[in-house]
Amino acid sequence: MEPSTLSSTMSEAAISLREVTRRFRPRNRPAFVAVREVSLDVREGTFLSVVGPSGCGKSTLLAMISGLQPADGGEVLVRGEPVRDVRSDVGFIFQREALLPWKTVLDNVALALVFRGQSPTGARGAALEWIARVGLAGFEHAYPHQLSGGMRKRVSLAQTLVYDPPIVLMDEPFSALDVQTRNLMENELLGLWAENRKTVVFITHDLEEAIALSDQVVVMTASPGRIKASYPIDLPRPRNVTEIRFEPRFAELYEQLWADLRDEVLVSYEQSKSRAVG
Amino acid sequence: MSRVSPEPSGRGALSGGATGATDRSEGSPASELQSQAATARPELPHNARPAPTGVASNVPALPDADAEERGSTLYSGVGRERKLRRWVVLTIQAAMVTGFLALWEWLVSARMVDRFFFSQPSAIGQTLWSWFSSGSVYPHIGITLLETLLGFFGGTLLGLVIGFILARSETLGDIFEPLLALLNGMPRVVLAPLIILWFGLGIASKVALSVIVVFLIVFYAVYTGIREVDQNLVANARVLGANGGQLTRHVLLPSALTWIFSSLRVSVGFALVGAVVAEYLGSNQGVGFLIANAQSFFQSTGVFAGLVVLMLMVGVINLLLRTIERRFSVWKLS
Repeated sequence: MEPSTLSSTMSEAAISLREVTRRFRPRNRPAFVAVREVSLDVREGTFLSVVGPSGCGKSTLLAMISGLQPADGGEVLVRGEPVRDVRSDVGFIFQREALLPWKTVLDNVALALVFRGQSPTGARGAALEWIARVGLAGFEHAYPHQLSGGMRKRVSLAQTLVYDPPIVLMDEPFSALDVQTRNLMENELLGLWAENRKTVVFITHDLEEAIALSDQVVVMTASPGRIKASYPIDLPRPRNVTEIRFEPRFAELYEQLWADLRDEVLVSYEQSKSRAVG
Repeated sequence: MSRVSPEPSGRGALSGGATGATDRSEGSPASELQSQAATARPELPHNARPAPTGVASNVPALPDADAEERGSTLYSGVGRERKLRRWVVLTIQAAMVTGFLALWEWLVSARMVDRFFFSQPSAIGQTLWSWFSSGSVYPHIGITLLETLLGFFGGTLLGLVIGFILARSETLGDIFEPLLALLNGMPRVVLAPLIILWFGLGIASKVALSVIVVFLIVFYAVYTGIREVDQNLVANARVLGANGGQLTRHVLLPSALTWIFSSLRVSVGFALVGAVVAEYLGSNQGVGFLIANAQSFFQSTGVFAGLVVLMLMVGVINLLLRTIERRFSVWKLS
């Protein structure tokens, strides 16, 4: 199926969620609804961030878009097709470490190409190029445990971008990094993104990060997660994430969004307290 | 392997045959087969999160000088101090061993201890000398090593395959895991008489016992290794496009192999134990046979000499394993 022909008939949504619901039934605990009737369209080439209090089902959204978890209700469409299994045209950068510890940087980055049946030499060539692009030239033969947290994130980026997925999902990718490394990585991410403007869905609990990076920010409610508000971010690009925070428009947007987010954070906090007591 | 020597002969004299030999090969306080295996299993999940390191750090294992080195880096300061400390330790060890042997020799010479039951270091030394100089002991060592190797590889292969299948299929795992747990909880030495009955006095019965013993260790390593594989790694590989076979090859098997590797010392040690126990109970060759044979003629000297040969074998195997571990644990998490 050609996405270009579809987009003319079905709008330009790279991802659309139609009243999607997801429930969990953990053992020894009552079932709960992680995501309730969420509808959302992500237009092709958009950098969209989702913010919300912890435990509001942000990560579940990504898992359903990627096909790692099925939706219990509603429909998830990626490039016009309903998602039934793990999609090979969607990249996913995880919050936690996901590099294979027994493979070198080079082999980790080449992994997706090897899985797609490319010859080892071809895969390595492309991997080398991406390792250089994320600034890790010289570390091809290092193992993940020999690298710093920031470097490992770069490897994760290269590992995903090497197969050029049109959609990239990122689940709090920089939350474990220190502030300086984090700003550095955010800027580099924007640089890479500007080159070919993939569709990005970026999960974070950090409002500043969301505003600084995105074209659009979606605020989710406390559990069960629904969409509370959606704001277009009209800050000019290219942006420098460290400096854009001083813009008056940034402060305005922050204030508006925080007004929405604050109540949800409080609700979420109360929930976690009562859960801890009960 | 100077650390092995301080404790040898005393306890061997009391417990005699098979369990004494077990004790030696493991260098850990637990001397029965089953108690060792029981600890080998539950210890594994502890380091499940950070992928297990190549070096078996928290598995009961052969005496390990590494552990000492690793520990000492925490508190002992500069290199010179460490070197000095090492010398002090070695000197004290040597003095203890010499003192112990001298005391033993003297007690027997002074007739305060019965020569018939406890022999004498000088006599044991003479027997060893005649065994090695005549070359009569080498075939026995060779046979025992062969049985150990076959048992180790057979048991590892079997454990890998069955562990993999049971870990991948939830139903099969639910059916068979409790049964294997039952088998694992049983002292496996008691299987030896049956196995000798079935497989005869030749090498087959020794290999069979060795295989069973190693199989259970490796099975549990693989089973937990695959069931507890970091789900993040699996999810990432699937998103990157891995199909079932690729997932197995690039994620699940390497993960299982690291667990096998972390139980390497234990399984090699047990392979030897299985072989020697079976030899002791019924055979006409091997180091276990040497010990059993000497015992049946009431020659405590021969029993001790056999134990010393076993100790030497364990020492050499231990050295080899350390070299292998160092070479293969390149990616271990620091």
